Amino acid sequence: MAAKGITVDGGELRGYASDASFLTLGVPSLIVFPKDETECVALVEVAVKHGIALVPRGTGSSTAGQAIAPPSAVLVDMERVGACDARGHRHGLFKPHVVNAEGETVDLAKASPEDELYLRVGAGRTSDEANRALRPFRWSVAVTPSSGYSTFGGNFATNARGSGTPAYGPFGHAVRRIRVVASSTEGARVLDVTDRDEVRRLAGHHGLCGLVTELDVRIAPILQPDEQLCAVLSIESTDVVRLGTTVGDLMKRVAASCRYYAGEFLFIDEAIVRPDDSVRKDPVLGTYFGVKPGIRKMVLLYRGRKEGMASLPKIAADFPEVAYREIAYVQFQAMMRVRTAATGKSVARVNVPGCEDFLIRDPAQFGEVLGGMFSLLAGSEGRPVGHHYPDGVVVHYRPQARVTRSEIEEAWALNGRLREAVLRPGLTTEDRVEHGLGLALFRDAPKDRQEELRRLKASYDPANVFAPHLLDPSLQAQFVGAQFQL
Amino acid sequence: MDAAMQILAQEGCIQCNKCTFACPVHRVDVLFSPRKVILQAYLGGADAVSERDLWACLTCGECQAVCPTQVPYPAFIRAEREKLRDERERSAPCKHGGFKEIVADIMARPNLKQDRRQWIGDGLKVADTGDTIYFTGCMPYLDGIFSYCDSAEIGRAAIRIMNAAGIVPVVSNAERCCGHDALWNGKSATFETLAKANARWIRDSGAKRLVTTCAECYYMLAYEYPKAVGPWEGIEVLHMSELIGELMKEGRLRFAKPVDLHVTYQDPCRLGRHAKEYDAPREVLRAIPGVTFVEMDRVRENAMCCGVGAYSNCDAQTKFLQQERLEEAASKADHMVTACPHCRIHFSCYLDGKPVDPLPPLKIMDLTVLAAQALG
Repeated sequence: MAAKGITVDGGELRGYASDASFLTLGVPSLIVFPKDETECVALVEVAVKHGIALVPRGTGSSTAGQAIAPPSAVLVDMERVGACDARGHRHGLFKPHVVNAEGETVDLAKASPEDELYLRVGAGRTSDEANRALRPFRWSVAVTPSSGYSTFGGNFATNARGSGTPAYGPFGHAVRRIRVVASSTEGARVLDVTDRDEVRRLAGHHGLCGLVTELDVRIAPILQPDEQLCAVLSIESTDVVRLGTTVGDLMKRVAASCRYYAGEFLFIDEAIVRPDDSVRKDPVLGTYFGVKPGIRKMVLLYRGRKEGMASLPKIAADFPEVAYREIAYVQFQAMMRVRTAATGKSVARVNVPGCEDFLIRDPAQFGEVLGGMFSLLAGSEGRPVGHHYPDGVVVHYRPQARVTRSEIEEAWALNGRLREAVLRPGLTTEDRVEHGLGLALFRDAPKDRQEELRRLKASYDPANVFAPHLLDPSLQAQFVGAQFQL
Repeated sequence: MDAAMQILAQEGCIQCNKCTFACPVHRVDVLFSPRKVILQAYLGGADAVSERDLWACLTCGECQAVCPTQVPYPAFIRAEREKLRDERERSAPCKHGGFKEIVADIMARPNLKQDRRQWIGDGLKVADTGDTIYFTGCMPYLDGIFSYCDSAEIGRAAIRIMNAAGIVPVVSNAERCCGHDALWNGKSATFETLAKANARWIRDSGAKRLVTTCAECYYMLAYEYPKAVGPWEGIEVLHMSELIGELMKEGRLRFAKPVDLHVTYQDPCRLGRHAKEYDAPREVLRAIPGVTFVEMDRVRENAMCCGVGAYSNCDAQTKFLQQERLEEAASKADHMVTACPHCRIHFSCYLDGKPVDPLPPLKIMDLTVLAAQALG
């Protein structure tokens, strides 16, 4: 690889032994940082020739472990692909190349807000960077998972959801075309996939089918302040089942009669933001961060076009326990920052991922799920947060532990009990639509999806060099908890 | 758990990698990643940090500014340097950093005798006692080595502005280096000696205000000194841009002479991300007649560092960073203004050498010097 000018590191690799899942399969044998399609082709040719397994990785911000490699494999960091300047350095600034639904180049300065447009972008780019490039034209990426810091290639590999999903669907639905370096029995193939159904099938491929190098990603016009409605709804109660049932009923009505871009919820506690955080000083937002002992407080955040959200105040008024307030977009962004960090925010604690990202298809069961969760969580720290999508409620939860082995192991055990309590047929599904199934792909994914992925893999990767280990469900058992030297 | 790991564990890292994408060093050295260092620390203890990772970090704070959970990575690196400095060889410390380190060590000696006023020149009024101290920092010594940067010009401009507003500042021979580089490069004993010496003469002077033209001095005096030597009871710390803003509001200072320049502004890391002062310098620029002020694409908390932090490292990759930032500035204006003498030195140093690629004509200018030109 080095002879071909590709950046590699075979030295200190412990820092690549895991990702945001904090799971590990061991230390990879090598990490490779290709910067463009040519280098990806060279890499795949070498891998096919020598029978080396490649594990592609975007940012590695998944909590499910698909971006970690076993010791015998090569980890392929894709963050530089299509994101480097002429000197080969990753550069945060770029000029947007925009195409229409037919793939023809469009002058964004002359585009209409009604146009269906796509940003043609390297797989290593992030929504943060894309939005910086699009902002002067008053456009932004339509679906933004992980609040903007994960790569588009990673978003596609997990078919992630996020802000914009209620209107545009999961990330894969917002992609028009991908370019992928696949394998053949002889070496590498570069494929341009433009069939929308095929693109949607490949969304969520978990890196099994090749190295995605470029995507056409849907963009949307930025709403003016007078075009959008941002609202905070809060509710507090000692009875978390009742609280959840009330919010679930409210969510059902919102899903039935509102069109929104973002719907989020979080539980507030003292540690959710630091005492000196500026959000506490905001005269409106600051009021949400006081919680009386024994009280559970949930905050819901909605944002959408005014006309699509017209019934939200009326719905809220039908729930006397719920306090409704409209806020400015900058305040909404401030609350979203809290929401983004809320999954993992803790003071003098570490997060222990594990039981998270499960879907409640019927919001009416939200109270039952929360009741089951909180009865187990008594005395432990961490907070449920999540999204309200039109097809259900996605809940994330990470226990938090003091940095001692005994507490971390206790948190892992809590994860196990939580899974048993809330993951029941008819109540919740652990389909992890948010972060991908990762190592559990061939254990927990629906059987028809597993078969579809096997078919796609056989077609795109006949040499079986891309993440072959994911096909082995037994890997799911290899959690890392006790190996952390804390 | 040692001090460095305690800092790291204060806020939970969620391994999202936003820090790494924001890190300027990572852009030119893909193997440099704050997120990787944190994971290594979680896996194997903080001492797993490599020599490169230890010293290449600019401590600029871009990582912390974008971190969803606000992991204080620069503070972690500072604690690591303090712990590992003696046992880890530094293969390529910046040569100018060596000079600054020697200056700090000399200044930490007892019974030091200095003449810190030679640079002032005629026509400018300074005093031995008074309400306002002009804390010059290492500025009087910089021209001895950074010949391409008239650093004393900043000091003369500051005194000129203060004199114009009726202030005769104290410039004291008792002043020592603020200890910025010593603290950030892991020599806390040197820093504490310097801080104690400075605190003693400042408190004894009876002054009520400490004004500095240096972003590093400002951050140290306002944020690190109170932790090291106790709070400044009745003494206010101001960056020169804040003082100018105040004098303008009070009608004591007026910019009468137009200065026809197209400028952009480089947020110094210590003034911006570390001290959260973004607005005062911009208000000064907007108040100067004739100045056309254009922002760069990456500003305020997302502003890109000048490429060198505390003179801890300066190598080929630093030059690429500086080229990138100067290209961004040159695409907006023909003058890059900054409020830190060290940002000015680092960019000027780069331009004085051989740039990586051709750059459009661009001058690096200090905010105080620009403001003084508008006095007429």
